[in-house]
Amino acid sequence: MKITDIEIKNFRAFPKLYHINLHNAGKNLLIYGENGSGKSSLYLALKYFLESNVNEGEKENKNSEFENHQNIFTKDPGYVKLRFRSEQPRKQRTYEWPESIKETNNDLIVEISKASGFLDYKDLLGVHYLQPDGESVNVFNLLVGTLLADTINPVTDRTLAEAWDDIQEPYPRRSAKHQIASLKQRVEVFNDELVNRLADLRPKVREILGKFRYNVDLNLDFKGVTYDQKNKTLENQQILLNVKFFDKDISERYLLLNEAKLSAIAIAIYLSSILLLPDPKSGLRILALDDILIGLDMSNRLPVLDILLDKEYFLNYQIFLTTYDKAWYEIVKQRTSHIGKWKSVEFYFSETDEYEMPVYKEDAPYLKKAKEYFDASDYKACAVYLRTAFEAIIKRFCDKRNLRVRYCENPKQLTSKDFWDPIKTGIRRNGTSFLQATLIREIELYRSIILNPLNHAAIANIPRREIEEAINAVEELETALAKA
Amino acid sequence: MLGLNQTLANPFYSYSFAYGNEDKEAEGYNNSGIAYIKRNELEQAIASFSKAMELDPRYADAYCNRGVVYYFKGEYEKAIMDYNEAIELDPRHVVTYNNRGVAYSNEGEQEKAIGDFTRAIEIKSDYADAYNNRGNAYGNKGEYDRAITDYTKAIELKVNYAEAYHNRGNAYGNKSEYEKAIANYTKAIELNTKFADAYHNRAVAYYNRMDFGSAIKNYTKAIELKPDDASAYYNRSIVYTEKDNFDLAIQDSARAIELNPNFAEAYHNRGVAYAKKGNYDFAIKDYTKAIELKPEFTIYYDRGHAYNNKGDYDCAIKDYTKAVELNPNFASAYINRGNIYSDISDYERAIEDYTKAIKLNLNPADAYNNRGVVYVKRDDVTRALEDYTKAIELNPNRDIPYYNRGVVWLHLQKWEKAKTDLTAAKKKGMDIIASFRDGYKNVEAYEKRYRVKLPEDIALMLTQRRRDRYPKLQKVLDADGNPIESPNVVNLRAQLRNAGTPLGEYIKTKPSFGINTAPIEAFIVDKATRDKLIAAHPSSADILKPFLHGQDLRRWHVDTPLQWLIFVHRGIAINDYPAILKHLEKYRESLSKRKGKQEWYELPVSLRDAERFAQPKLVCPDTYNHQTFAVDTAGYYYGKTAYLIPTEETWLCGLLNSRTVEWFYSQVSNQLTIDPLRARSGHIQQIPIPDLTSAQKALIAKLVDYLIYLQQQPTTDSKDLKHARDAIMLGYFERIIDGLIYEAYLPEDLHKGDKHFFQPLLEEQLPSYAEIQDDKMTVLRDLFELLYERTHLVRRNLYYLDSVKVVRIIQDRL
Repeated sequence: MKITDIEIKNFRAFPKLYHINLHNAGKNLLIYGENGSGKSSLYLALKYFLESNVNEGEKENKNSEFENHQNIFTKDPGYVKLRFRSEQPRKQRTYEWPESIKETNNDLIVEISKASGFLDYKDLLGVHYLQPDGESVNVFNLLVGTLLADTINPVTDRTLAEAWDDIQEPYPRRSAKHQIASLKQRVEVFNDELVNRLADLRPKVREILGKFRYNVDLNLDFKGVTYDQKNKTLENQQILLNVKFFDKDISERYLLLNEAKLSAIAIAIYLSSILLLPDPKSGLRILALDDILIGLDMSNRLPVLDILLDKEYFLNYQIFLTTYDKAWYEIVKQRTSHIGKWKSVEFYFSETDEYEMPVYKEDAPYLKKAKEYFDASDYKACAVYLRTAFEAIIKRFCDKRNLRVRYCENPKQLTSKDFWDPIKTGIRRNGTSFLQATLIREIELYRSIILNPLNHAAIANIPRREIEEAINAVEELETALAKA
Repeated sequence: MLGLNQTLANPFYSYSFAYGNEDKEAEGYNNSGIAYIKRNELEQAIASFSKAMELDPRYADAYCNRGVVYYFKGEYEKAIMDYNEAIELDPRHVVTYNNRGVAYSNEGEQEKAIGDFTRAIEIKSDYADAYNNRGNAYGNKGEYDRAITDYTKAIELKVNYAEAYHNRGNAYGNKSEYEKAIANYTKAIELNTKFADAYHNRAVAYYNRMDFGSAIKNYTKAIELKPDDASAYYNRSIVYTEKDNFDLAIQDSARAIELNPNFAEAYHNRGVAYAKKGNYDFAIKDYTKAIELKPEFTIYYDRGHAYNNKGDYDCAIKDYTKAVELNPNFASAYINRGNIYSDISDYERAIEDYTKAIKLNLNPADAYNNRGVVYVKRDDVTRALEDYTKAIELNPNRDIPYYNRGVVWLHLQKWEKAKTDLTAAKKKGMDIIASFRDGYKNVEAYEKRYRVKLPEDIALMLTQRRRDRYPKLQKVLDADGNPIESPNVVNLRAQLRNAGTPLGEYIKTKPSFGINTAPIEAFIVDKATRDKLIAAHPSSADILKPFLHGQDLRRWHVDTPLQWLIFVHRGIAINDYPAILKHLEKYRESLSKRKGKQEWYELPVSLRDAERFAQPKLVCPDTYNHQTFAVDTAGYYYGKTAYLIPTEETWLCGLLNSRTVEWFYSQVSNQLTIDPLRARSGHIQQIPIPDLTSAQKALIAKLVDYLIYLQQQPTTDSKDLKHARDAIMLGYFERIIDGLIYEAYLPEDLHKGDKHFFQPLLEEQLPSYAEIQDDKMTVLRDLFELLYERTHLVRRNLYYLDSVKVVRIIQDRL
């Protein structure tokens, strides 16, 4: 079973109706989006949709109420609608939130919710607060508060977060013996559970870290929290992450736990915890990762991608991957393009007169879209598409002609100039230039005011006429390059 | 609002056999007329008697008898005219007086009837039937004491007078003296084992005494004897409804309707049963039909309720309105209509309705409470406080108004008052934490929303701690004073109830509590004392029994007792135990103060009680947070704080400790708050035992044996985290039993979601505890790891078990 369609209306950043088609195959989704473009809203739409099955009050979770996510610019009630499709038996089902909250309190949604994983960059921010001391660091808050919070105890059927909440303040009076005994018992339950959880995780985490080419032995050392009756505090909130590097001969600096390495370990722990869950009957497991790789450098990102694409691990999952890093997006897109199970879309945001709204597009004719928005008098959205169309056109041409583009360690730093210049100055084998001088001049003109992403804010004041001219110029460019 | 149909008192009429009439031919016609009556050929009978009168116009007997025929035909006026004639002809015609009395009584003229019966008795002082019938007439007038006097006289005069016993039963029943009523019906049935009405009315008496099981048995017997008695089916359907057995209630109502298609009450009750099942559409259909037949305000009220539950507020308001139109004093309808207005934020109207209900002064406490809630919504705290206070004054035993007033005090930051009220609500049994969470999520959210900081003690009172059971959200009451229940819960309760035989019937012997051993310092001794007593005299050993209190018990395994009971049963030859006697002498004073028939040195038990303890049994404490049954095959003795179920079937221990049973038990015994559960024998015996195969039972019993073993291992209860794995192993095996029991009770629901436990576990062919040769702990650890593997079906099905709806209901997640 897979998700085949997502419809979102008036949810958070989406002020209108958006439909994302993942086709009958239920493809994985790769999303590029600028900050504020709505990619996180899509991530949250999926996450909260699944969480909404939880009975109100069961968890202190206001996220399960749609009204808290209503797009603030419209009173028109919204929804998130997912269509699921299974092959055997061939069946389609659509569920809507919050049509009635009850609708997602449904056998299938409960199951999918328990089988799925959602991790976003905020979950990994905790890594920044860690204070590694050489080869070890206390990761208690990161694990209990975030990475393992939603994992479910197979015995009590409660999440680790619930078990943790169970032993929080307010603490009983010192004289309340019965209550103190009961608290201590709950502390024991929490400790037992966490010890077992860590023991289950360890081999899997080590295996996954191996994929990062970290030749390490990793220990998560937890001695159990204890309740200090005198001070009414919970002591020993400590899980010591201990890393033993096997390659001691590499420079000392490399051995130290830095943020990137800790991010990688955190991701490995999270993915392991998901991989340890039993497979559901429906076969549908969702893994949604929202921008989690921002803390990693390229050398650590590629292993994550390898793991996600590894047949052994997440083959049967439906993956939603978002990033605001265009270069990374392009790399993933390229790596996944031949797999066929992947679909990539880009989100931009445009400022119309009233509000910001995401512009979502599939990797489809940008120019056509730009014209549609132009006809709809939405010049900002049009400009965004036009810019993208321009970039796509020149990039495609450079790739095709194998033109020499400035080398850059981080492809993200490449600008349209880096592609445009070789085209502008390039010469065919017969000695003529690719483009006529007038067209070059025109493009140059609009590139500075419309087609330059750095001029983002300036777009707001461009007159209609100039945009029209720019569209014509890019259209001309496309034709000319196709012929060239 | 439904009443039972009671069958009428049985009158007695008589024919006048007159022998020795001079006109032999007339006498012949008279006698053949009587013969016709017996064959139920009434027209011929009339013709015969008329012929007799023609032949002998002064033939009083013939007039009397024709009167009886008219009476049979329901033509009471004609009957009375004939009787008049007979009496004119023969003023001392005693039978006619009696018969005319019966006719008058049927016409509702009780005074005239009583006059006639009295006359008959004057003429013939031993006329039992006349006494019986006069009793009926008094009964019809509501003068039950006089009626009873007459029936008693009738019984004196006529031995084995079953009808008079039956009628006297009715009179006692009408006086609400159900025990006496039942005794009389029972006597009537003894005298006439085919006495359908007596069974029927005994059922009514049992019902009124709240003994629903016996009521059902009696109706069933009445129906057996009189299979076309619609009212018996109808009455039984009412009892089934009371017992939450809605399917059978519907079946019986339907049968009653079949027998009597215009039986409005039967439609009404079927509607009630459907509504309780949560099937409001069917309920509304039946109510509508009932209203067509008999437009009564109670049916409108019930239909309004159904619409209300469906969320169709417009129709509900219309029906409640109709109900109060028909009965302007119907406070409940005002309250419920007020609740709807309150829900749809029409506060003016809501207040108006509650105010009306208050003025009617029938149960105004709830109306005050609910009006208070509306005032709070309108931010009129002064009035709200007044109303809650009034509600508390009127009914100080109610918890909800205390809670509501406490919350108002919270808003006003009157912490002491708030604390007092919230404490009171909690003491009276309310789950204030659940209700607070329903209103404000939690203390933090409350503090943020109102920008206050609650005092620490109040915050603690309202903070969710580990929730042991299923919360009951309470705030607004329906007109009957009950918080409204979800149909999911009602249906599941009925589904479980129907899933098996009640425990009380399943086990052959009766469960019971342990011995009252007070004063314990006399009867309970520690090891040192025990050794001393035996040393002093060896006979002491015979009556020193290993002993446990309820609070010593844990799940599964009973730890070896550290105390001994001196088992001095009634009638013991105490002089055979000199050491014991000497020991007890020390406590003679306090021992003698005890009530009861026993000697000062005896326990209030007989020697036969020893058998109760000697046999294999399941035991549990009388109060517990979670189901806490353990298997005792060692024949230990217990105090009165333990509950004993004699059985050899250890798999029942697994069943009784399951979540399903805990949910069901807390539901039926109505113990839904966070306080500990109490063992209540009547309710424990109601726990349904599903029908399992012997292989299935054996599987559960194996797991119970594992748990008994594991419970004894120090590593499963160790604070040392080195043994954390063993601790969850024990919990995991318990969860496996939970899974099996879910499947045992609710196979269809689980199988629909592809959740199987019996099959994969039976396939594993788990070794029984006795079969394990190697180190048992090692074997069990390996078994645990096998079943805990993420790809094992058992693990998978357990992990996703709450994707099954009924499981979510039991876990309170729906």
